[in-house]
Amino acid sequence: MVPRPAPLALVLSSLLLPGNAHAEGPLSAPGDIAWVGISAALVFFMQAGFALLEGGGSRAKNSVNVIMKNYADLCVGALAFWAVGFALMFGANPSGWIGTTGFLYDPASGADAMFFVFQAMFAATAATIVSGAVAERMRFFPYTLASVMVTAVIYAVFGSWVWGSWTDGKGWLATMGFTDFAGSTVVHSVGAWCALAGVLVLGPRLGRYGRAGDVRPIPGHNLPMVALGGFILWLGWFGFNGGSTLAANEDVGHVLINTHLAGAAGWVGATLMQRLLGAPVLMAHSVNGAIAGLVAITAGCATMTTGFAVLTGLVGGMIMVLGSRLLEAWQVDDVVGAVPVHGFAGVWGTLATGLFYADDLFNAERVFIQAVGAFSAFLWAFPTALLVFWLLKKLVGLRADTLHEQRGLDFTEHAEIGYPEFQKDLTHGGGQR
Amino acid sequence: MSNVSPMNVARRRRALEIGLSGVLSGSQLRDALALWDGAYAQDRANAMTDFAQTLSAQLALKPPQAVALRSALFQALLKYDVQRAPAPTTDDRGTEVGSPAFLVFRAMAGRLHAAAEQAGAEALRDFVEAATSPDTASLAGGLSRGDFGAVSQAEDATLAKVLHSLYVGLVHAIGPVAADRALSRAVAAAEVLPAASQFAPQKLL
Repeated sequence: MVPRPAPLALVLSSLLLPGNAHAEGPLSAPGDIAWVGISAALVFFMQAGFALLEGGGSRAKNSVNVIMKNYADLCVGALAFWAVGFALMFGANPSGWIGTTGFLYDPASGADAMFFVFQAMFAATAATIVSGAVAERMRFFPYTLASVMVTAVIYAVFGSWVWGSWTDGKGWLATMGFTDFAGSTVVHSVGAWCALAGVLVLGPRLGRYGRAGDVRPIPGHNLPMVALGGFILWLGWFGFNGGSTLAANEDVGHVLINTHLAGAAGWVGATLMQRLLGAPVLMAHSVNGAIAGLVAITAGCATMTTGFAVLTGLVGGMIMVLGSRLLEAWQVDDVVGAVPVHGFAGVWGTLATGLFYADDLFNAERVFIQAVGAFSAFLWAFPTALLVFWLLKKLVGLRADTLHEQRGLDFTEHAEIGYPEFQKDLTHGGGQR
Repeated sequence: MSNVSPMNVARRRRALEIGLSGVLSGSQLRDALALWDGAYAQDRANAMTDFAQTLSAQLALKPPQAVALRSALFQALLKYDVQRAPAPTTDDRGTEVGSPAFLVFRAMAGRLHAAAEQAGAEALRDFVEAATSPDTASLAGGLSRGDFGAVSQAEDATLAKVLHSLYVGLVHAIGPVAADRALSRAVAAAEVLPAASQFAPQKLL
């Protein structure tokens, strides 16, 4: 039987009262702080994974723009989360709906500071899911504004419902018994629903769909980058899930074995599903399958036996492939497959957490609560993000015009190009005659 | 006897014109085309080596110039003779017509149009529909025929706008990846034009 470390919300509830709680909490021991610090660094490194995955999955003329957006998510997102998001998510939360203290956060202790650093990385992860979906046609400045809204408000408010118990109170979903250990829903689904809203407001890339509804493939410019990005994300996940124990103890081992095997099973699931559908086995799809497996296990990595973790990852990878096809059929242009990877697999993982809860398998009530949580995330994040993107579209303009799509957003948004040696001849004014 | 069809002979002449324009002056180019028309086009259209040697001798080219001529000649044949060449840009006397910007534009626009045309009638129709914009209104029916003479007097900025409309049309017709390739080939084709030394194709992008 797998030991079951308390879900993050429960772990955090042991840290409620400054002074005495910290002395015995999971971030009080030096080893715990070191482990969470290392985990924060691993989650930080996931930004590099996203940059490679999304940059490589885009056309060369847009690669710099995509990577700039990843940087914006990390940097602007960190500041927004520090100024507002952390307070909304982890501030005193007597209502269970939103935190109210801790704006411009000034940590009272090293444990508080470490917790903030770890959580800031999570916030950036949620935001950066959007950048890959909206790649190649969204302007940089409005994207940055959207990123601020995601990290400061959309992600933080939902997070308070599940994890909001750092100082006082408890989120209403946590009170119901909703389990999301490291964020299949809180981080990944919320990011994916924001991404879905973004791509719907933006519309597809120029020429992505033919008049007859046929899908024109637009392959990324560097598949090895995609593969390397996938590996780095996988590595980062050991910190993402493992660090969520907030303690350096043996529970980490169970979390990590579930995480690793679910990622592996996700790759297998996506690969199998492509074969079953008679489609070519695309490396990028299989990499996405591994990530989908990792997303799926994120909610239940601490509360599932290993066999069910494998099953969760396997199905997550399969769902990713089917979800990608569904979006193509709907003509929703998600460049890197962020919605099926983080959204659909996230929902599945959240439900699987209820289905496969150790010692309480297939408990309908638990599954229902998980469904409520997953659905609540959609109901909150999607329309709110839709409103944000719509307002940005009306107020500052969201979409790059067709000339910018022709020239590439690297040149039009940043006046530089990713690969000058072979792109110069196709760059506006690049002849220098 | 030449086994080259009349249509291919015309295409080859155009390829020669493009290729040699990069290494010969205007009068030399006219002499070269006259030599081609008089002694090779009808009966010896495949005798390209002989044509290059005879032309070098006739123009009294020095060895390095002769080598450059042969190189340009065969590169042009490889590049243009196997595909549809851009529409003629010379008058009856072999003189370039239009501003350098227009000549470059016409070469590029012709390539984009040809890419749509080669993709089939449906693609050409999509191309024309999607490329139709206020910027291309002056082209009228020329848009579907690949006749861009209506903008021969247009300013550079207008030509760039028209070319972008053609690109948008091509993206809708054949997809963004194929359209980017076609645009890349169009730039490469325009770069070998003499006019490109005065007006870089990239200025139209």
